[in-house]
Amino acid sequence: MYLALIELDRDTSPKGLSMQKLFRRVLVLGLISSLALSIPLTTSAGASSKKPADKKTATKKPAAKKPAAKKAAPTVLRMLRMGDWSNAFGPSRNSSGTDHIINFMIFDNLVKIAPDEKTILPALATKWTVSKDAKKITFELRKGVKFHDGSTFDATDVAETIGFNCRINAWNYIGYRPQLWEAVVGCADLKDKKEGVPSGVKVNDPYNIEINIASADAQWLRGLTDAVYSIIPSEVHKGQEFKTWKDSDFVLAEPIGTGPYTVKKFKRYQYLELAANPNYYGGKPKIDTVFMLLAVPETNVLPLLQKGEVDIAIDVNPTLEDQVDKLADYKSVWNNTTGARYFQFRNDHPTFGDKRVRQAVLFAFDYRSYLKNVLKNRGGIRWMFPAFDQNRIPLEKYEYNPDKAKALLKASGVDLNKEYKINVLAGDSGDATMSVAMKQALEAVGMKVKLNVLEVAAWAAETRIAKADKDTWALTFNSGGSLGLGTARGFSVFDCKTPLFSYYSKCDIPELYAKLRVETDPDEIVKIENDLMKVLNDEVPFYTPWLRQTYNVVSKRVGGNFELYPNDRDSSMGIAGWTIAPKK
Amino acid sequence: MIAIRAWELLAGPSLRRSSSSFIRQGRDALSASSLPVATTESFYKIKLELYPSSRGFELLSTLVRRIGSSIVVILVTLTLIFVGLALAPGDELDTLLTPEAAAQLSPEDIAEKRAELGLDKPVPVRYAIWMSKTLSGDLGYSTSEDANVSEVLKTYVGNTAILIFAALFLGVILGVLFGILAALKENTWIDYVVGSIPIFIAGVPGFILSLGFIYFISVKLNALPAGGMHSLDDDSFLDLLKHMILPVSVLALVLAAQLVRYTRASMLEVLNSEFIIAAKSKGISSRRVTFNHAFKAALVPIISVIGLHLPEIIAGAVITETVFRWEGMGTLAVRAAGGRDVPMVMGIVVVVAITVVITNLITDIAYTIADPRVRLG
Amino acid sequence: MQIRECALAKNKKNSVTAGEVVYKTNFQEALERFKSYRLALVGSFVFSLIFLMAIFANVLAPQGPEYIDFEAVRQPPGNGHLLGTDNVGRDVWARVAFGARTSLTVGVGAVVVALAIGVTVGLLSGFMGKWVDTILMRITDAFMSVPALILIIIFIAIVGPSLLNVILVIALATWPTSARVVRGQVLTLREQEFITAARVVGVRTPKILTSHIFPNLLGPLSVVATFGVAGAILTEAGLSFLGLGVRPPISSWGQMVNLAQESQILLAEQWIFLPSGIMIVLTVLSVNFIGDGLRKAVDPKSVR
Repeated sequence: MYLALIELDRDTSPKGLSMQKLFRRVLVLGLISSLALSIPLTTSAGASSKKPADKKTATKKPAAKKPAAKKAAPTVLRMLRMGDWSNAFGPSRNSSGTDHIINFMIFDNLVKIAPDEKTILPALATKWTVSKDAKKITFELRKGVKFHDGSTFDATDVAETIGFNCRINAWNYIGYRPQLWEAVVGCADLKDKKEGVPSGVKVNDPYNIEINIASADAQWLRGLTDAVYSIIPSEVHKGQEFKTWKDSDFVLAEPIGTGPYTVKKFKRYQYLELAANPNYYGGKPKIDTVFMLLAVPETNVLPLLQKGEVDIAIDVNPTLEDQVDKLADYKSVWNNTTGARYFQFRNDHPTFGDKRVRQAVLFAFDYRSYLKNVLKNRGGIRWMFPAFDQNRIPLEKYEYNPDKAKALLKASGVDLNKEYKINVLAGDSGDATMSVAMKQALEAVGMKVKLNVLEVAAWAAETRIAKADKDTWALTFNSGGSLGLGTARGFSVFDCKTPLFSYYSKCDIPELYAKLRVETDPDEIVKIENDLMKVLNDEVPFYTPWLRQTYNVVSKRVGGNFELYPNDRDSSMGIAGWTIAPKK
Repeated sequence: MIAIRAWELLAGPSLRRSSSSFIRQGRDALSASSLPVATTESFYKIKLELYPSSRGFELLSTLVRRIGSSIVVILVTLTLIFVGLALAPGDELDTLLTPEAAAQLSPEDIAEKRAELGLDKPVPVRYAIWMSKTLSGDLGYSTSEDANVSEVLKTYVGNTAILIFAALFLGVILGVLFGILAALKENTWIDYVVGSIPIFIAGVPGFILSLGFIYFISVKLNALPAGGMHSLDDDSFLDLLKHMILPVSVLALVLAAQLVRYTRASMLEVLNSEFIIAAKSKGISSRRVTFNHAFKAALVPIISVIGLHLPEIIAGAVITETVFRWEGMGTLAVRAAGGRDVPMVMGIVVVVAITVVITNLITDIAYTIADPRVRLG
Repeated sequence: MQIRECALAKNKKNSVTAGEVVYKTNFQEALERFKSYRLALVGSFVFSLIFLMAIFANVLAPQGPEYIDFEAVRQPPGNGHLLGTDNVGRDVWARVAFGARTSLTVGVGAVVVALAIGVTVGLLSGFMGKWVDTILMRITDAFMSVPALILIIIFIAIVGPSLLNVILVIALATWPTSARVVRGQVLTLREQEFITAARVVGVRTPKILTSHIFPNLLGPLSVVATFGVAGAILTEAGLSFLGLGVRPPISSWGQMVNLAQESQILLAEQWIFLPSGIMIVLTVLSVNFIGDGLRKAVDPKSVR
């Protein structure tokens, strides 16, 4: 046919007219047919075939009005939280705040926390006792709880969960490490084994379990409320190792927990659909379906709100407030978080190792102006980590004082001709602004500063050489969500043996934190805290200038016991009691 | 473009060995001169030169040669990109582990994990492993998507393909129609309006266009979804179409903007050329002249431009996809590149390169149909 | 070409060698044609204004684009800030003026590097022929077989975003065009009569290159270059959107336009992003008009 077309086309006289039209039609047909061909592509690609019509009619019962059998329309909640998540389920994949929020919809822990972030409440455990030496915790477990697959929850599940976590090598944890499980006696022995439970776990009867930890820890129970410690069914992971586990249906699509919701549909980077679990031990959740919108770019948050397509938006850009105020159906919710932004130093650095230089850096920055003008007075000034009592003992507040900064720099004899590198993680605009402000502040007192913006991969690669090359990471910005959760929450950066991208090489701080963790006597706790505060304030390996406030948008139809926790990732612990009024 | 081609052909067999496709010639010349320089004398000259006897066999051998050299091209592309990625600072493991997680692991653990992912072997070895696996059909596992690369690609290629096909369809129709309109009404106000709008569209950064659509149509008129591929819990095809409308419109608009200029220019060119005047003087009605001769001659650069855009079927709409939350090859590529997910990036490149080669071939064939004086070789 | 020579030779007072007459006459003619296309003149005028803005940025905005005044964050125009301040407290006018430097550097720099690579490859390919040609063309095809933006994203992921990297990466993704143009021209010119004549006479290859090949390349290449500049500026804006472009504190128009991703800036604080957006459109338009004019100058048969 092709050759025929060419032969016939030789002649441009009107006779060839029909051939031209034919070939043009062929071209157009080709385009149409390729479009048509893509339809089966579509249906096999993202979209499944048309949903049966009865799905829709199930929501609205036709006319027969029997007052006894009233079928209300199912309640639907749509929420989103800015930030990435791991796109997987299960306590072993938790690596972000959004992971936590989703986690507590599907799973439960032994205990959970109240919105005051201090009171420990029963969850899968109804009663507990902590021994005097803080080395043994005994739990009485709740009866009558069922997993989503119908199996009954009992002490075996708890024991097996701990065992499973111990058997998986620690390095498989992409996110947060279950350090509290690792603290259980006998956990390390299970490494690389295919099954088994740590020797420190004693199942006394199906609803009573005793856990022994290797070293005393008064904060162990409080830490157990973290999403990493959710309980999973014992059958699910039998005989699995991490390689098979991480690709399992449980982790990627169908997790099984005891929580108020089950995963109904998971469209990666689009949304997650959760259905209420009618057998939830706390009673059937009041909201039938929850949609979690995923991977929403900043540009789309306001359009979604303006169109009323989302009901709760957590941790969105604070500048949206002016626009949200124009929307009648929503209210702005400012949340005092337990987190803070902080500066961190390497104190084994030739220059920043001198504490006078670190203090000079802190005096050079105008925190109040930054708070007022950039953060729009959202948050508050701090001079000590959030959980500590800022005013109990006299502390240096590092109020803006460039003259003092210059004097300290002079006294320490630092070389002002050298250019110091500040590494900044790309993509976090908060850090971008702060790093520029810091650079300007330091240059105003005479230091030369270079900003080194790094992508995530390059940033991570730099951490690998952080030990070798002390000049990297002299000063970095970071934010910590749990800084306000308790004074005993130490960081691995205070481990004087393992440098992170900042590094405090004296071992006095880690020792004090360790003491704080095991102390139960309240007066002693105050003494240790005071000592710790003095060292932190004087040596300043870290400094938190502001308390962090996040901005959230909540629909006025949301009610029940809905509340944003200060550590907002804990907020879904109470989701079974949230309600949403129907749209008018 | 045709002028260059004419010279090349007249110059003799020594040049034919350089098997550059017409579309590429067209592309180069298009970028150089952006218009067909159709010297009408050359049309007839070539016609006389150009009809050897065993045309079918020539065609086949050319095709085979083309496919052969295309395979070489694809291999070169793959090698370059693989080596580049492998030598980049940071690798998959770095992006998988959060800095806190990495800090909690001992160097031995990290080394072990790295060995497990095969990242500790030297680059040529890794390349050889990857190539052997790919040739046997296994594109590997994507750490950033938690699935086999081929599974991921199947979904994402489809998602982008429907977007681009629809945009091409709409854009071509709009662009060609308006281009012809502007050419027919040359130097009237219609011409100036239709001719200058595309210029402005060309200067506006892509995401502003997309955002504009979202705010004016989706929000203000509350007519269409603001993004995403599906409404919540609605997997119907109709719903997908609704979500497609805005991103397709943006892409079609940009394509049409370019096409209007080319079509107008080449239509004008041909309309004013001698052989059209000759045809008119022969007594053929002007309508026929327009749609048969002029349009046909003008079709060649249009196919050039379409051919230029066909590779975007796979990966061109990155920004539009990102703004509209459309899970397509563009967003996939950004994620994979950022996550240093070498198997995924390589998989994308394989698919893209193969598609480009195929579309080039198709476009060349379309050229030959449109203008039989053109040779495939 | 020969007919023109004869016609115009009548007007030429001085007698010169064949090659030189062709060159001069063509150039003067081309200039006339360029001038006759009004939009090209407008484009040149606007572009030179922008160019001057870039050069004299430090005079126009002495404060510099990096100075932050935290007391004046997100201020509308007025109060000593011609175009207001941005989300961090920097003067928008200063950032636009200095952004001209960055954007023009990216535009021109990317094109210069792309041309350097492309012309070299094209010349080598065209002149050497045989194996060199085949290998170089396969490499060129390889670069062309992946859409430019994808290639750029992958490259930037490898080398990281910075002004220099952005320039290099855009050049790496766009050099094939000029390579093919040059190669095409060389191939056709190589066989032309006047080259053969020059060879016969004994002119050495370098002279052939400079007096015969290059002048004929200038035309198409100048068109490639101008459109390349516009394309590079727009690509930089696209990269900034993906977070892969030039980063603060260096200001570029693409980066400033992308601040509109924040809804508050898009809807209520337009002075922060609109000036840069307008500058991009102006630059792209003027460069496009210049390119059209050049095209017309190079090849009189092309219509607008």
